[in-house]
Amino acid sequence: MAYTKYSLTPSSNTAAPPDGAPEGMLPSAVNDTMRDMMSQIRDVGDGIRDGTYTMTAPKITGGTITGATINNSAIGGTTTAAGAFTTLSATGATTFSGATVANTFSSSGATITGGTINSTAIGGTTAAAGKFTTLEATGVTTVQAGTAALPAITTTGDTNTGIFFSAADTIDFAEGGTATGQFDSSGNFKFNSGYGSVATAYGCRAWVNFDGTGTPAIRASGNVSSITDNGTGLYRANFSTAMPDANYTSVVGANINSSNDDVRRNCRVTNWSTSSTSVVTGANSNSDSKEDFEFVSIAVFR
Amino acid sequence: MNQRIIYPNDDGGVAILIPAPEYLAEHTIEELAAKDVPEGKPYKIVDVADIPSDRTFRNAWEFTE
Repeated sequence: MAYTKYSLTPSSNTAAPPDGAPEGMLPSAVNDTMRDMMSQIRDVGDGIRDGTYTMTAPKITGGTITGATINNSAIGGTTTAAGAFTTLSATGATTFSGATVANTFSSSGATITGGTINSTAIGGTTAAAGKFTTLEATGVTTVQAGTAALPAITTTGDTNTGIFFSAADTIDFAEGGTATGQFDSSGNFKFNSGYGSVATAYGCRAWVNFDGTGTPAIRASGNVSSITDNGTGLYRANFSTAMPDANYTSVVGANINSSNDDVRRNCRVTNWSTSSTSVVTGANSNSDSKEDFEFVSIAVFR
Repeated sequence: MNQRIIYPNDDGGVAILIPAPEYLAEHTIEELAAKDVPEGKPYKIVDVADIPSDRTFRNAWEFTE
């Protein structure tokens, strides 16, 4: 840009015509200087209009920008324009109309009313379907109650199987549109599993399978912390977590070894307490004949 | 699983506590003794090899401190 040959200080523009207007310049040089100035003004004007003029630190305060481009992206106009910004920040309210937001959009307090996500309507007065690759909520997520036919939480392609909520404080399960399980408001677990209806299932609260011969040892157990060997044929199963009362059912099944089929062998439950249940094993004869059994199984139901 | 807890039973014999593996996975044998040995009974934690495997006279076994 040749206009930079001019100084911002008027009295400093004293170069020889046409580049300046020194004191005592010949009148014949005045028109040459004016023509040169006109040429420089036209050059600057065309540069701004055509975008060939580089502004190193432009400031636009107020006014309206219509048309034009930013980084080759059209701004505004009557048609939707695409643009790319490395960072776009607004300290005030920002309104998007018909906008497509790609990649990451963050907001500390945005309200989305209406609109669509991936062509799916948001909110409104009717339920809308939508798909997300990952959906995460740091707060409570609420869904509708649903029914056995249309569970509230289900899976793609099998919408009559899932979880629904038939009543307050109740969680239900459905398969193929039929209720098959439930945690009721009292904490009871109910299921069908061939019973014919969804009914309360009473669980085995403790169990143990042990060898009572030689050096007695536990084969496997559940909610049993230990067994006590109290003497020949006398065993006690101690519960890891105590029973709520002693009114549970304790059953024992045992055999002296894996090949014995003598029906006179016997086993009995002899004690029920909240912390343990005791059993005795032996032979069913006319005398008290306790025996150590190789296979002893105890189960507790409550 | 290689330890047992022994203590005197009420009949003058000895009771042997056999720990459940699932319980020892989350507790120590000392915690088991505190829970399953009757309150006030003296007890010992012994190696399983110290318990006789011949139980012919099991009811005659005695606890000695």
